[in-house]
Amino acid sequence: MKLIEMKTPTIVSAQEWETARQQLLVKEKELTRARDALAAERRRMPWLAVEKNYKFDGPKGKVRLLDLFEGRRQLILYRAFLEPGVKGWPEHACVGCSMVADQVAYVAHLNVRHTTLAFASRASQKDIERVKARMGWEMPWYTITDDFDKDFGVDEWHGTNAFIRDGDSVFRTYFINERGDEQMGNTWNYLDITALGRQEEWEDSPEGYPQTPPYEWWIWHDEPKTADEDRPGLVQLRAARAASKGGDIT
Amino acid sequence: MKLAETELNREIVSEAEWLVARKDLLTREKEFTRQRDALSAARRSLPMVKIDKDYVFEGPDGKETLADLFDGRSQLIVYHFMFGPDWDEGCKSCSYLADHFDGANWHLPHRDVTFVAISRAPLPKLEAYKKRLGWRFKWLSSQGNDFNFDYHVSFTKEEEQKNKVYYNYATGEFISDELPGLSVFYKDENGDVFHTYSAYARGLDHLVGTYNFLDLVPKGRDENPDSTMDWVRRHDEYLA
Repeated sequence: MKLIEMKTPTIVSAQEWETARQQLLVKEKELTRARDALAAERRRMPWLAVEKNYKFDGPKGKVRLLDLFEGRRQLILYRAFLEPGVKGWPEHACVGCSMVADQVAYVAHLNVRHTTLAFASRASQKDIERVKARMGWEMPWYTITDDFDKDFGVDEWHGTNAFIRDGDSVFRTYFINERGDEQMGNTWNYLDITALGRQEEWEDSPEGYPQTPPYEWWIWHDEPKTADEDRPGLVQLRAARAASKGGDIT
Repeated sequence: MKLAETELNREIVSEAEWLVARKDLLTREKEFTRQRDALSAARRSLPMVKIDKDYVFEGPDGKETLADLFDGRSQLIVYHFMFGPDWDEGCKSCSYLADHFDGANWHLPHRDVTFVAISRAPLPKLEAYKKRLGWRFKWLSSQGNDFNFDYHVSFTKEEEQKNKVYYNYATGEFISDELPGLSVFYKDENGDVFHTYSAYARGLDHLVGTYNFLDLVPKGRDENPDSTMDWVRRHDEYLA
């Protein structure tokens, strides 16, 4: 990390800092309220009935979408890229999906809110089990066997779908992808409160702050020493960035 | 659960109609994302305060100063975990937050960030509780120094008697001798340490991945407005 050219912010007295901090707090509170209002809108989204009978492979054999709820009222299903053809295979899921998986905390807290969180990929259960064990992940993780990924907008890119169950009927209530998936992990939220931020090129930072391209600093947590240039998946990420939205998927 | 099954009576629409509603919401979500980016940029422009006090903490590696805690990196995040010297257990809600620390902490060191938790309880209490809950993050005791008081997360008997405390940048009534918070520090090339940021109360909300997930589902967080975290348990204390 080169900090030599970084122009650090003004160094002030505790009292002056307090004033600046209080001004920022006003803006932070506005954003918190704006976030609450967005979540309130999500709770008012109409529902879309899921008519097709999707089948997944699970640890105990074939299951329906309904079974993924594990009896709870709500299901959040994250589509992770873990399958042949994805860089990192067969040792790893895609590096970004791995980072999302790392940040899934104890699901007990979601479960007591009548909500099941699960992952789904195209890899076989055997391969999924192996990668989960290697990385220490414990959330349920299913194999997609039909058009589920295509029908729910996750055949080419990661994304999160939310469903609700009314008896045995299942409804799609929400879908989010791209930067919307950032809020599921908290690494980004932690970095956003640090002096240097995410240290990514797109950020509006004071002059001279260290910045590198987004996505490229990501690591598999069991291979933190892998040099960026050697890392499997990097070429793919660059290509994806170049191909989508004029090189910027932020 | 039964109650929730009957409560919801929602509009069920066609795929085309659903997409219209979803895209409409997406416009506002994108606005919010840009607003969040702008706010983070404002955080990076906050001035800093040089720290002249020598805080010494007791941790798994023995006695360490605040400067030592950076562990070779230039940024340090300290979670002020509510665990008073006389308490038998750490705070339940802080434990809920702490369930989200380790996942992020695989990645934070790769952005020049060291993450630790600090509490006033003596180290053996912290270590026993950490083992019980299965956490990996480094946890140090600030027992006997002013750290928690200086960063407005612990309060004195005198403040309690006067029923007047300074918390989350405002003066208010005494709530508890410990309150939650998080502080960020920066260390320059000369080894000088600066305070850049602290957040409290709902300022910590965005660090809780569970809430971020719950904000996507139809029932939302589904909390009691008078006592939002009353459903939260330590993760080994949920009944089912």
